Amino acid sequence: MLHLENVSKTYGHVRALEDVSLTVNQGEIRGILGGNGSGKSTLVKIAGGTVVPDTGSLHIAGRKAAIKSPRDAKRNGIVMTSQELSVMPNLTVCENLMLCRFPVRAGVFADRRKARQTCREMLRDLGLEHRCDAAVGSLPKNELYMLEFGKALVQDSDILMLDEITSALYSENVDIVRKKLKEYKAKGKTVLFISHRMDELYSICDSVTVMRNGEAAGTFGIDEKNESELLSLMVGGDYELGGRIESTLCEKGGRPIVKADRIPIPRYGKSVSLEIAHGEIIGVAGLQGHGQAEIVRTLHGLLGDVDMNVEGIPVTIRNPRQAVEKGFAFISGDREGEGVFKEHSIADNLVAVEDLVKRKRPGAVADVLAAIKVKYANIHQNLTSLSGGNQQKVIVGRWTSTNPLLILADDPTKGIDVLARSELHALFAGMTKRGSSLVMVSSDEQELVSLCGHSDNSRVIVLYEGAIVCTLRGADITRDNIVAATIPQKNGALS
Amino acid sequence: MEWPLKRTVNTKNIRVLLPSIVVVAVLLIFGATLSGRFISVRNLGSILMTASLLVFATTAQNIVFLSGNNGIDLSIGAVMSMTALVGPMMPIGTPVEFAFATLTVIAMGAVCGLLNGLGIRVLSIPPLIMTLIMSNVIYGFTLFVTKGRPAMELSKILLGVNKTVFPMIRVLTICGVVAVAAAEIILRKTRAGRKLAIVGDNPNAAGLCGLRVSLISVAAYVCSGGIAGFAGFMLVGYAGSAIMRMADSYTLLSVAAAIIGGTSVAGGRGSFVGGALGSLVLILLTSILQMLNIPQGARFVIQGVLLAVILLTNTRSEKLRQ
Repeated sequence: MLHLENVSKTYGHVRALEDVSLTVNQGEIRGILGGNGSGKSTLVKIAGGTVVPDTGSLHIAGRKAAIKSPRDAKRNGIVMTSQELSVMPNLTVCENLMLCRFPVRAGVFADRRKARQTCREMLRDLGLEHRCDAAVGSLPKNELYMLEFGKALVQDSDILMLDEITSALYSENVDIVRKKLKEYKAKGKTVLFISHRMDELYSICDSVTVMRNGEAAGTFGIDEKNESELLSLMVGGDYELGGRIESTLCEKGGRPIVKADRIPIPRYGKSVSLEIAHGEIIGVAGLQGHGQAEIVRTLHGLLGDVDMNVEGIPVTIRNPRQAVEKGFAFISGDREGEGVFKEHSIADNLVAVEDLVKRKRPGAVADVLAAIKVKYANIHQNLTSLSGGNQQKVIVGRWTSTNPLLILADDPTKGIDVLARSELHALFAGMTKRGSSLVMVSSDEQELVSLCGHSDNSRVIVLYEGAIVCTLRGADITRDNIVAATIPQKNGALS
Repeated sequence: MEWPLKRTVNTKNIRVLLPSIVVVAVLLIFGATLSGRFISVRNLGSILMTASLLVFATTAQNIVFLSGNNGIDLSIGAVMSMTALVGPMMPIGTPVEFAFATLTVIAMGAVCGLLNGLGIRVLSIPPLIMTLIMSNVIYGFTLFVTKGRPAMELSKILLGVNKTVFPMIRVLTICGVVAVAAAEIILRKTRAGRKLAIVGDNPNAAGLCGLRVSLISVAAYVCSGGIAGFAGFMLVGYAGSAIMRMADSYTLLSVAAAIIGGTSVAGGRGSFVGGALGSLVLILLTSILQMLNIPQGARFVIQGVLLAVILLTNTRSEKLRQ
């Protein structure tokens, strides 16, 4: 039995978990359902020892357990899989599978024969037998996740936690997962199963806990609640299944400036088509990793060649330089990795594009900084001496003076406080008023709602498994509608 | 505020130079107390000239450090040795021939740099390994061309770099000062130089902004090779003769001088003036140890320890400032 008591966790300003208690019985498969940022991953990471909670305690089989590292967790019989995958690309499938539990002889020598035997049995069950000696780096995504699953399974722990292991799996893979989990349960083991696919929760789990904003919104037997009831709990209000998810408001439109028919989402083997109008704001929503980032990154030429129509002229964009030439701007939420020039001053950071790429004499730096509301002491101080929000404003400011045709933003307000966020939204909105269009990905649904509130020429598209499953406009852009659309029901939205 | 930005208030650069300025002063005072001869015009002149040779190597290394992406050029010594041996094989009788020979040695170095850059950017070989391999290839090439024979008879024009123009100032010293000043101005004031520093600071962000990251970083290696090629030519003029591997030590000295001068190995921050001061520190240090009659082996050990101390203080103070 696994019992978490009053667990809380905050990351900086962000509250990930608030006083969550959870009890899972032996021999139970518990599903966990929740939207982006609801705290489900944090919850399993705490039990798995990769995240240490601020407060609260963990009890296993009635005894308090101090879990501070994955090693502690394993000693207490807890094994977890991770969304980020924990496989080693240069080892073979067999070596990866047995990594955490390599059989040894006389305490030191690797027993390869025994390892192979155990490995073969597991791989046969997983449908990966032919891959035994393949290098893991060469495997397709779904097989990687099956391997991650097998690697956890083979450790035969008392408590198994699966964090969205099925999100990249095909239905035949999911059938295997379901069968293996039922077997596991029959051995008297406990499983925590995170998934956003309703049909999986219904066919695999005995019970389900719904998470919302870092809190547990309730735990129910799987037969107690139907889909729309679960969804209502998840969004925190009444949600009518079959309500107006697909927007019926007519298209505001405008002159189309960029039209891309095939934006590939390789992870799901699909492609998305997108038409962006002059001055339009397009919010891109979805659960993490369903193709949102691929849309903006492909358009900026970061993920290989892409064909599109820019202002009626067909072009192929092969790299960011060509995208910038066409008037595209890109703002990444990964400030340290893709935004800031940390050894350079505010002024150097601000004029990087205009001066060095566009080869124009930049205007007065102080005026630009005043217009984008950056507080600073001296334009020659290092950019990194400013707060995260002000740094990001400077990075946006890099592009404002170039009057971009299209602004692409990949979760640009990640880790930025609320006030700076709304200032950034205003900045973006101001740019669209001056004729730029904006495509912005965000993992925060509320943010897209407030961003789109700045303009009536706006829409939110929701992605699921590499396809646009929903488009919302005008008054239909609400947090509840977006969250509900990120987890499509098995019967379809309009059943 | 007007563009270009006034950089008078930019004290950051001066602060970076401060440690090496202090060390230079301390070493000069220490040397003077040991012997009056140390601060004689003759001795200082020769120290400045020796430092100028290292300044070229350090400038080359600095460009590659600035370009980031774990950039380092370990083939600088090999390129210098190559041009020191191969350069004098060309006819250098007239100033025109001399100019042609100079351009040729620069081109030879630039080709080595181009190969370095292509191996690193196109074949994705780590810079440390690529330039190390390159240095062996260059030695092989040099041996093949010269058949291992030293360069002995030099033209008068080439030996002219030793000429004293003013007291303490030789031709070679002037060349060094001009090179550093030019490099520093290019880095601070021109688009090319500022692109180099921006790309080195954060290649991903620079790429998103539309800069040609690969091209700029290959260009950095080409420049480094070209400068090293020129430095080798000056070296043979200074030394009067050349043998295989004579410039080996310049590779590591250039790395040390650049770092003492405040260049960040991670890229994006550095100054050529700093590198020049770093070179001066190293040459003064060697000179003082020689004067103390310390045997060569012990000299290297002491040099190594002092270097470690200087580098440690440099990297630590950086953390303290943050």
